[in-house]
Amino acid sequence: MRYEVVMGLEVHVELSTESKLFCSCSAKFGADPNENTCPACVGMPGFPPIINKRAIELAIAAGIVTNCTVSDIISFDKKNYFYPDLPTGYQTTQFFAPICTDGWVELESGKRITLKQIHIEEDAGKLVHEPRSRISLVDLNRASVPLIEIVSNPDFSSADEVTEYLDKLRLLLSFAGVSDCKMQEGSMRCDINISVREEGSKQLGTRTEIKNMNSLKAIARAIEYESQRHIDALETASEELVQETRRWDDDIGMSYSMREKVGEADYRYVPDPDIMPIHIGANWVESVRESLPEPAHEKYERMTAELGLPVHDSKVISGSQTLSRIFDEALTIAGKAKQVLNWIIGELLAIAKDLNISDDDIDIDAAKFASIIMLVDGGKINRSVGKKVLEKVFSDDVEPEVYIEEHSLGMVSDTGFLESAIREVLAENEKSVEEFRGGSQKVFGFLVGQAMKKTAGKADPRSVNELLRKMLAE
Amino acid sequence: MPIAICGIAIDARNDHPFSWSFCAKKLTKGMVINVSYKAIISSSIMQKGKSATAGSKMLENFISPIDATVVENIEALIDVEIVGVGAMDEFGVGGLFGEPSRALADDGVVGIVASRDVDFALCNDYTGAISRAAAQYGLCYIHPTYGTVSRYGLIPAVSSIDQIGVLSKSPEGCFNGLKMIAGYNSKDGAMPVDYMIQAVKNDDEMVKRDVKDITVTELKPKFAEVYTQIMQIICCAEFSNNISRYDGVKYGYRAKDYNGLQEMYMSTRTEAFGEDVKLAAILGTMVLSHENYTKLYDKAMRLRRLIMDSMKFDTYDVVVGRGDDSNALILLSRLCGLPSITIRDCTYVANKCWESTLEAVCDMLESNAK
Repeated sequence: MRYEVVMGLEVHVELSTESKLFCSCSAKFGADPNENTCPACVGMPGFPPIINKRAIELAIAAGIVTNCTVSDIISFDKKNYFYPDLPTGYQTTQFFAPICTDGWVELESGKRITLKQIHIEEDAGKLVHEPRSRISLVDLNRASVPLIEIVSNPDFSSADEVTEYLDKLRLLLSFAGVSDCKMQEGSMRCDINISVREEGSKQLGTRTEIKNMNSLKAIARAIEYESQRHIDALETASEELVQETRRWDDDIGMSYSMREKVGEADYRYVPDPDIMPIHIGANWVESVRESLPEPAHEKYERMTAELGLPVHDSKVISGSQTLSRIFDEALTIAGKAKQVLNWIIGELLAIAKDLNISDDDIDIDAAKFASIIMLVDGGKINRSVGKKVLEKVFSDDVEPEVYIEEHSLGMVSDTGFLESAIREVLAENEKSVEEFRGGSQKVFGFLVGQAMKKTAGKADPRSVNELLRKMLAE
Repeated sequence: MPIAICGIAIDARNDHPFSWSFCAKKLTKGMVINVSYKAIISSSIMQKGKSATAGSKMLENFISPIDATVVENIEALIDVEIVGVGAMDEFGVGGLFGEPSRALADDGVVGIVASRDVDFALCNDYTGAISRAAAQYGLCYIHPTYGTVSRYGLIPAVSSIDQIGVLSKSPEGCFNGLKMIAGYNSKDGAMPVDYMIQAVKNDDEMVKRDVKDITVTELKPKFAEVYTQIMQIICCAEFSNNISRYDGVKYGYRAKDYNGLQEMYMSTRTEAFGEDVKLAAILGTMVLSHENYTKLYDKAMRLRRLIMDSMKFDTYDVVVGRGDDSNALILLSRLCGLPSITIRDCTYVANKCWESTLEAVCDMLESNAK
């Protein structure tokens, strides 16, 4: 028997707003426990919710880049359940009138993954369990941080399609400024609804939902495991498949049931009377559309077709919102697209890789980066000094010109100084000089290196090369 | 069911509406108003650094971190003083099922205004029980248009009805109190901004108009026979949502003995909630449950919409009812967010934001009655 997998995705994306959905607390990641809280977001009575307008704009932007229809009027609803990380006892979400409906994201193959809807909701806090003292602590920093949930139709038939879709989504949303979409930090999370049926069958099989995957690799592994579990169950009747939510454990490579109670939870969805319905209207949607930055695929087009840059490198730059931003800003200051591109691909990414920093996490002042490129290009410093300064800018955010001045790293082009340095080298390495004169080209490189060392790396290698050759010939 | 005088519609139409003018006429900060007022607030209105219990054991140790907007408004006025806090029934929900006995006690909001030297009380009479009790005690209560008084700092009960109103010995007391607290405030997201801004612009035009040419017709409000049931369904549903925040995790009461999370929730709520609260919470979760939502909650909301739509105020400006009709009109104003004033056994209802008309009509009718 041949089987096919049918999957639908629910992707949660944390919106890049400064503040939370209903209060002015910071929505930034990484504060001390409960640092970003106020009476409103810890659920005290007497604080009616005031909705964050920016969150709505970002959700509209998400709808635009995924080809959705943005609703004219939206409203909010309460989803009721009790858990200590949910301060009010209900989650504010959009059940009856979501902000966006009916969109699609196109894969490389031309297949379109259709979207059912995008809705806005608030995040919950988190529980920190301390097993030794047997107590649990509540951290409400994330409580009421705005999210969107992007719900796809069951259009996926392989793990590759799922990972490609998620990567596309990450690009679309990060370029539109909707979210930084970092799976490892939890700002992009994905739940997968999965079922298996006989190939060609019209009927969908029993569906399970898998949660808790925090990387694309984990998602691929979870899909592989879960679809095999379904097939095994169908073929050998080893276990009965039930509709349930399962948690993926990437360390042991298994999913296990999260069900605690028999029967489906009743969330008692009800319109939220504290938030008035909001009229969005075509003008608002248009103004958001006009404010959207260049999307990834257009940037790629511009880099290859207009700027004539290599395909592979352009793909790397346009595959990251951060790199694209650095490229654009540095290009504006330094000009010379080719140079800027080479410095990013050749030097910046190498430094980041050594420090184990991913492309999107590179945090560098593009203006300083551009000034290094210009200093090298203008012959003020040589390339290897440039690279050293870049490392310094990367680690300590130093001012390139000041750093070069303070450490006297400026390029030495004073021929008299170079000549005396080379003379010293020649005197110290008589044996090598003889070997060279005897016909060995190998030692030439060694002598260049010695001369560079004498000048503490500040000399222009080309000048050293020329001068050395001239002096050896004497 | 004999409907004796089911509402008299009074046509006191003026050239153009006073819409919101009333709110904008709000007294401004630091204003001296020459008459000194003593006010009390109910314990569901928060005062910074003071306890705000809403009559519940759940909040017996809850100290408010802020001043409610209405408290700020009152305190900004010279000559008006908040002299105390009046007791109330637990979250005011008892009024759904019977009499507000706690509010009627000597230290309750109604009891204090009725028997002591206090000019008015601020409280949230979302069930209508305070208005009915006021009638028995010869007092008056004004329930303003939904959204005209900020609910920032009001412990919520039924969000789609919650509205701070004024209890006083006379209609003037009610309207004067209302002028001190009504007005747009950005901390309450359910206040309709556009109307408010319009009102402030027209500030100069705002004068109380004389009522002329009164004509009277009879009006039979739609679905009056099921107001009570609709109120109970909607109130219980929203009430159950609003009290779900009280779980003993973050603030308020927490049971001493429990084993595990479920038991902590159960013991905390069992010990700290009274019978009426438990009843309302259970009924609320029932009407919102998957199997009852369409049958009960959704149906009640549809009826509420039909009732709202039926109150057109096209050929009449104010609806008046006495006795049972008065009680029905109290519920009507709660369901539709309409302003109403109960004066002894009569209730007057006007269209949204027409408090000025209400005031003019009351003035005239009351002075005629004298």
